Amino acid sequence: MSAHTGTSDDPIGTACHGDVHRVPAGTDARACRRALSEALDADPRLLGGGPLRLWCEPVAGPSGGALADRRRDRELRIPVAESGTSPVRLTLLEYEDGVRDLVVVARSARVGRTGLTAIAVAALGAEPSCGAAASGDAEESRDAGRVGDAVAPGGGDGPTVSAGRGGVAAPGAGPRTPSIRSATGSPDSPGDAHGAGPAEFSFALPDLPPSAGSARDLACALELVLARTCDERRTVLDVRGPDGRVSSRVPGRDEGLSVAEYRAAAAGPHPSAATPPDEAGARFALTVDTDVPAATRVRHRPAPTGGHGLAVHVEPDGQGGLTALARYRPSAVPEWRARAVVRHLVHVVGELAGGDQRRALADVPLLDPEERDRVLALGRTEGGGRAAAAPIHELVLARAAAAPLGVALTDGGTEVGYRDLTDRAGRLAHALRSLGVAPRDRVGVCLERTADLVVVLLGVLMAGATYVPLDPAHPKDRLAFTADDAGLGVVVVDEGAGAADAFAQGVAVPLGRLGRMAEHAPSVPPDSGVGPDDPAYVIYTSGSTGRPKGVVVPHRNVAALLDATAEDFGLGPADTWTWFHSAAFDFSVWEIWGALITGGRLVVVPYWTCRSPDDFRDLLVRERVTVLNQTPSAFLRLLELERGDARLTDLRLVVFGGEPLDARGLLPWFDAHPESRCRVVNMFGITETTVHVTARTVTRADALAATRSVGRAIPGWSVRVVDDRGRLLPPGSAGEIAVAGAGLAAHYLNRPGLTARRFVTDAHDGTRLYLSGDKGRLLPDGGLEHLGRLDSQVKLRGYRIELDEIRHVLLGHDAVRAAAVVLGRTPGDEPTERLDAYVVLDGADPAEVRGYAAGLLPEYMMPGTLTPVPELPLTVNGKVDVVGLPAPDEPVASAPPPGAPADAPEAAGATSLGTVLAAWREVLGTDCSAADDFFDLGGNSLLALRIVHTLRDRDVRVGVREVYRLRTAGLLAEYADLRAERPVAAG
Amino acid sequence: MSDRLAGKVAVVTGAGRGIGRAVATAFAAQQAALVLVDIAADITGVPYPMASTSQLDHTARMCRELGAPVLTAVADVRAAQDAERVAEQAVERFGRIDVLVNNAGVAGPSGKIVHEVTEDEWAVMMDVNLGGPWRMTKAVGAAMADRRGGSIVNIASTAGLVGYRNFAAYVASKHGLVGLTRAAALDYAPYRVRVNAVCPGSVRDAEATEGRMLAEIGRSIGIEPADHEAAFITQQPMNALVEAEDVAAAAVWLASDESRRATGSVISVDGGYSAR
Repeated sequence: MSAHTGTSDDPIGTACHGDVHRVPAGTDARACRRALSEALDADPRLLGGGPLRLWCEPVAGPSGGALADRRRDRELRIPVAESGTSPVRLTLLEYEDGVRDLVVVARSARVGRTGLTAIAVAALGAEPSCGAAASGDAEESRDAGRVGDAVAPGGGDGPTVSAGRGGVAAPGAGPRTPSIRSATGSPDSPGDAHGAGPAEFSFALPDLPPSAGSARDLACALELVLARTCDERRTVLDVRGPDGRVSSRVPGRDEGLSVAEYRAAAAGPHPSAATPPDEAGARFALTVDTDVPAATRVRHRPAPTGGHGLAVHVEPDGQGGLTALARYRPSAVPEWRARAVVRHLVHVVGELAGGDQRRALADVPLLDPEERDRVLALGRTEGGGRAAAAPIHELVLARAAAAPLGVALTDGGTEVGYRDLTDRAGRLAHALRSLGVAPRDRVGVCLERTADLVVVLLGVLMAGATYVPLDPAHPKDRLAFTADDAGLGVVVVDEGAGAADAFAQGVAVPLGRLGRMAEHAPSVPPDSGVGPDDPAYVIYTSGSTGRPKGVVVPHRNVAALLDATAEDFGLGPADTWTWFHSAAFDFSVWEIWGALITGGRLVVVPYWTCRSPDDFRDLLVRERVTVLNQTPSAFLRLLELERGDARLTDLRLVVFGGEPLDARGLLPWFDAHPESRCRVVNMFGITETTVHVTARTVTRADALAATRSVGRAIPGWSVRVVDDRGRLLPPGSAGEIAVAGAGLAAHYLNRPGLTARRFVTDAHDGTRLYLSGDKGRLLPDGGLEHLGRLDSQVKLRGYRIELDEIRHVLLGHDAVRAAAVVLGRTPGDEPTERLDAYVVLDGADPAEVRGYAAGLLPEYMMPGTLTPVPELPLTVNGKVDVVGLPAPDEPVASAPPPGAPADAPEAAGATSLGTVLAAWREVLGTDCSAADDFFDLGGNSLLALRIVHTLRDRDVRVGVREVYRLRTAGLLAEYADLRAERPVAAG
Repeated sequence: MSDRLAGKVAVVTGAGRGIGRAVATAFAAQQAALVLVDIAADITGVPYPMASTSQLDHTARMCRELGAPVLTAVADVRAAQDAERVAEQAVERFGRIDVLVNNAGVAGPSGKIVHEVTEDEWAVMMDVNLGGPWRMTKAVGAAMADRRGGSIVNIASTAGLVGYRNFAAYVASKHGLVGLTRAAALDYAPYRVRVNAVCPGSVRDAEATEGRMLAEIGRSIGIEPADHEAAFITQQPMNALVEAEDVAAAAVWLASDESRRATGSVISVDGGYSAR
């Protein structure tokens, strides 16, 4: 069938709705036909102008059976052709037990809902039921309802009606899950190219009466649900009320109103949404009918709405309440999401209608308690905490006791055994004590990356102190700031290193001096005087704004981190790790202590080897490294070397951290290193949560799907996603990632205000949370999708743009191996503000990538420049260094198509083209030809306006719209010429 | 539950018995709504009885037991107005037509060397086997093209691929049907209406489908009814006759969206007969 993505639920003209009515005993086809015929004489419009035709069809089963139920459903789905002689189809289903159902299906545009009822009343002589009145009739309809619709939950006698009209049952009172009838694909419109047609399920709202008030509350509730859970920029809700009027709205976010005010405001008129979104997944519909159906009706099928990802139809259930059908397009709104929206709708409408009216809207919970528990459990991975929490140095000492001669460190030609390591560290601990270092003091360590640095770190811990790593490559200002901020009385420095100048007199202690002091100290360390809850290290993170802040991490966290991962990753004495990352970057905590706590061998990677992928790879091969930890950016360079020349055959585990991973880029890696031989794990984490939070083993399938999932929380950790008010969001909704569990840092050093803002206590369950500032989304499988920093969102010409989103699109092109997107501009000139993209290309030219991106990104998200670079510059920590990116290329002017006389009319000069081209060149600041596309040249709305003004000054009249629409100087000039009624230049 | 044809409306001609019945029930099992067409009367000049109304009703009942909505229509594919009436009724009842299976066909009069075939014998064979599919296609094609979708499945024969001695008219009609398939496929390709053919080999006359074509072919070349299965099997590379369900399975695939890029194809379901 057609491959176009639908703009309509109804691509072939089947906008039909229908009712199934139970025919009273004794009424047969002839009686029906006669009654209809008489009614048709009285009202010729009864059947929408069509002739009377009653189809009779036997059903091979009793009326109460499953086959009959399916058959009724299918009959309702059979469309009435637009080209047919009648807009109504009447079918009498005759069951084996003598029972009959009359199925009335009509084109909804020709026969409305009341019309449907009128036909049934005429055929069967039934009257509309009067709600849930306890009359014999109502009893009958209830029975019929159970046969046909089976919407009511449970199999009890009669429908479940909880107390309190208008108030959906209180939370916890009975199953609040909407009772769902079926989720069958809807075969009345053909599926798309992949066979994924619309699907549907029904649910009950038994406690809402069919009234205008309920209709309003449902609209309010759905609007609130969408406002809380969807991207507010892109979502539109179309509401059709009982009066048939349709209003479109962008779900709002003014949650300061009270519930009563909100409901009152909703009764007023709604402004229509200005810009409908083009994606079905962002368009929702709610239709509420309140007409009470005929008593004989056992099932209704509403007409579909067009182009909605999810459409909810609500109507009376004939028992005094409401019943609803949710239709969704699985390709735009997956089933779990459709069900979640419905669940929230049911919960929120109950809260609005039955809850405290003075409450602020913001305090109306989206999730019922049961779902809340479920969502929290989804983000949590149980386990961890099996090993006894112990200080880091004690864990290393235990390793040394178990395997004293095992190699702990390799640094060039030097090897340090475990016993040797702990002995030397023990002696250093005594030396530090003699310098006056006491338990819980902070000791700075500002050393080049050598085995000695590890010895010193361990010595600091053995002395009971907290190590504060300082990277000698950092600017002196920053080193001084850190030493000052951390209140360091001692900073261990390299002999004669320039960095020592950064520290106050007497603070810098050269390693040599410390070593000499340690020479005669005992190798058995002093009593450290600290336990697992004392701080082990303080690592400074700069974040994207503000001054660096020290993150205080207790010993217990590191023990928990290894406890959570060692078994799964199979970490042990047979492993060889690299220590690649600066001690001031917390990835090194994982590298150093991960290796030493599990008894592995740690290979020190010298600073300059880190900067040279060739040398680094040689080291990995030479040392037969098995566990490699990398940022994706740094790994990419290694991957380039491995393409077609796989030498890293000893590697069995690659752990990514520190940056978002572009899973697609791993395909060539998997070609060289199949997952069965080398496991690749992507981990998301933050210094404040002790290196890692989640883990996902990345497979070829993930790479092909370009997954952004960073996996589930590691055992003992948990994640949740909260909105800007700290409220828990359900899976699928993007918000801020909040982390809880074993990895949470103690606090920011000396920053009680910041600590209080970022480390918060959840008002609901008292859990201590770290608000990460990262944007993410929980997936239905409990995996976390990492969507970049919350503050990577930039605002450009009124649009809020996620730079990561653009980057992700660029990476979708096969030839793009790496990409970065930044907001660039000529200083002080807002109109030139634009997005600059940088790509590392493999085989494609930038224009091709630009064309690819233009097919996927809205115009306002298109980078103004696209600059190919041989590689992306990296920071000391191995992350992309935005500051180090080169100046962008000029906006690309496309070459004129072969044979196009691009410059020929220009030579004429007398026409507008010369003027137009001159204006383009001035405003866009680049050379261009008559055939160049405005947007390819970096054009945007402000530059378009400038062109219009410049041209007006020169007597050429065009509008901004034309600049956008025509897009080339040639066409624009032609337009201007025509408008001026000047003769068109001969081409 | 299988739903490969969910929501589709299929018209099947010659649905009273044999391959037509097998196709109808296979479609019903895949959730199609069905318009079952049969002449339900004998044809002058065809030396064996056609299906009866009772057989057509029985096929309908089998389909209904599978949950399918069914409309039966007694119609003669030799009559244009019958073809149009079927199409009109199908649309009134089910709103549209997604699939047409041109299955109705006759195997005789056959059994003569070509120069002995009479005008009437030639004409009736062409009228049913080739004219019928053309008329039905004509009746539903425009609406399918307007809707930009549809699948027409022509049940041809290995006689549409190779010759058989003493079956000139039959072979010519089935070769013609293969030709019609290819030509119509090209005509309708821009409208995403697909036309394909299935070429069954020797199909066993099973009791459940009440098939009798193999018996008729055997009779026309003088094979005793008791021997004809054994006689045909000796010709089969797979040493087995084709079952009507095997043909129906190919029709299900061609009717469904699984085959959305297959058009103008001619699929043999003949146990390898035509591969030699």
